Amino acid sequence: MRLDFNLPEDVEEVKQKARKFAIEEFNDKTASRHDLEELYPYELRKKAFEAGLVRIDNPWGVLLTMEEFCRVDPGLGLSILASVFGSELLLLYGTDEQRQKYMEPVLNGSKISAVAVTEPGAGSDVAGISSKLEKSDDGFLLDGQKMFITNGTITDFFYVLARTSPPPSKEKRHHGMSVAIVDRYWPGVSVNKLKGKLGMRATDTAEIKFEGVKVPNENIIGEIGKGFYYIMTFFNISRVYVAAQSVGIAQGALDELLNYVKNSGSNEESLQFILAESASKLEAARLLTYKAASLVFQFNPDPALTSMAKYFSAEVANSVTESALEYMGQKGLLSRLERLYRDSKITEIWEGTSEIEKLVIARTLIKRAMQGDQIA
Amino acid sequence: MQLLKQVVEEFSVKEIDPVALKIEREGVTQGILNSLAEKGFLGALAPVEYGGAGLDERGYLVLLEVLAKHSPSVGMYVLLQNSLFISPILRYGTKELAQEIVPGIASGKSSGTIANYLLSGGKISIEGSSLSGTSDLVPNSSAQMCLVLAKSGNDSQLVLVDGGFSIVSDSRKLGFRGLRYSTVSFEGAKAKSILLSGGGEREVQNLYNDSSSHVSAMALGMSEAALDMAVSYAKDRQAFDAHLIEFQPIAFSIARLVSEFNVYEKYLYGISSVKEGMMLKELVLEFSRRASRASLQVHGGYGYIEDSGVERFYRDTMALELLTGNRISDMSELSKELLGGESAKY
Repeated sequence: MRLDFNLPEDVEEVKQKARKFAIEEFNDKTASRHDLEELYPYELRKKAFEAGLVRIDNPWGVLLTMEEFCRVDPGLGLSILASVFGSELLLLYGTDEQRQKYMEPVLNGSKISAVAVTEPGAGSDVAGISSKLEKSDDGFLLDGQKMFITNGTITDFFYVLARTSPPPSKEKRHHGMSVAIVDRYWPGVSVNKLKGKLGMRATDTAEIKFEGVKVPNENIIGEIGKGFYYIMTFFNISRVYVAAQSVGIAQGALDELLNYVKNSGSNEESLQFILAESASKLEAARLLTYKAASLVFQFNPDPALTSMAKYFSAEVANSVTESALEYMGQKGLLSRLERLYRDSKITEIWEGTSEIEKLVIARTLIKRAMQGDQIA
Repeated sequence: MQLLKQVVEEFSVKEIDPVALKIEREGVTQGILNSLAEKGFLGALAPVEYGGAGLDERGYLVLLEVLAKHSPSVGMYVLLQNSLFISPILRYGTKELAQEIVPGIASGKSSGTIANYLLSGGKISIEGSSLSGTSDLVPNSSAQMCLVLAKSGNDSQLVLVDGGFSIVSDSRKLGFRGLRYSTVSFEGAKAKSILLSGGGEREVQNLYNDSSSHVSAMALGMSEAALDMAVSYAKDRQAFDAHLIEFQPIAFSIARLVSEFNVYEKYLYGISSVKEGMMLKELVLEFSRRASRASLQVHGGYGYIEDSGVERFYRDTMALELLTGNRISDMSELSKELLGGESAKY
């Protein structure tokens, strides 16, 4: 057998196209302005859609676009690509009507979606949420609060995880949750933009309040009570995209460092070692990410591998930006590395903190060992 | 020393804490400068006859550590005035110059800064007493006075400039956002006084080496604040029906960091040579970044927002290293100090 590490031609094409787009559109002036003023890049998003760069029907294309966008500017890149956030939920579990009404306008760029899971009192512990969907005469009533929601104020609707019944027992606390599609403009929905983020400042982040929001039956996704599993399956997909963000950020930092060495003629060996170590870590993170993505895209995800890719790549993004900045000194501070350093941190937090990823990895491995399976 | 620590702590709680976030957004205010001056903190290292507090080295470390814990920007401002402005003026300037300049700094009526191309890579040169060129990332750039390391033929001079320089553009700020950083033009500026007519580079490097313990005190103050916040958040926040502190990975990580902090802090107050300061700085700069990153991680999304006061330590600890030194030259200096002049050449 032969392991082929080359990207298929069509994916390679998308990658080149994304690279070209990012270099042309995410110049330092634009990126700095959106970062400083915390502006969402509406125009760039439109352009990226027109260029055909946001197509979740081509997951490898999106993955490589994520990498190439974040390589140049994570805040802008993510803002654009996350505008379809959550679409996989409908792709996997939605009805034709739901897909037509909600997913299609998002995929053609005319609408924006958001996923609302995290709450003020429950982040990593998803089953600890307290938002409630209570049965009413003609559907459900939604009450609760969500926190740190990407696209929160610019979205057209939310995929909301909420409790439809109390947990049956302490052990089964992940039972009894459901996912509902909730229009941003329905009565009872209020949003508040969170300002002053450390990084990824072009992205829109908000806290959301749902107060007695009427949700019709047809807006529940899939089966009642299975929301936790749907969200976990979705995270299994979105986490490989976060891994790709990290790979892109690390590559961007390495680009800056290489550029610095090239232009300054520095040939100190300490700097060369940093370069070598960074490049090695980056390559390992990339291979891990592509392997995890390959399984996800074949509808055969390995949660342990996905979590490894997410956790490891995030760590690599953080350590590579840190050492690049440290070794470039004030030259680094004056370059976009300053931004990359701030942008990299979130990769260890969102879509499951590194701590959660480690638990997923360990528990998956232990479970397999107990079942006597071979550990891959 | 305990008494001084208490005084600075009380001062910080009363004067700095209520405006700490405002300082980050709007800068170190004149009000804060006045209260710092009143306590003698702006001229901490200056002798009493120059209007200073005449603190000894250890007292100065206490001051920096506590200030940095409450507001890294304020700590940085005090470090800049003392370690990098008053100190070199006292060391290289005449008595008359010190008498003229230092009281104004100590009283907060005037302020100083330093433009050092060894860090920023800008190009400033001097001919006679006329300066030319620009320097990037000059901290506290609205200061009236600036010490300038300037090239003079094959040599370098350290000169004092009083006005006559101008801000070209403001720089982005990774850290210490309460201070202004700018690209400053020295075109047409005149040296008021030439402190060193040759060998400026070596002496400026020495100045930064000498301030290693000061930088370490700042790093430790910030680490302490970040870790205090991590501990109280981990004791308060619940997930999976338990407090975060109950989970081994979090407890182990914080316990190790707190241990390191205590060991380093003890060492800080026993420092008796420049070499020891340099050794500690090498360890605590990295440590403070690790501690602040861990604190942010414990806080999750909440630590990511400026209002939490957590994420600034993540930025400020990195900025501390970049603004007070250069990784490769600092390590080369340390290697030569510990291993001899032949070391770390390539």
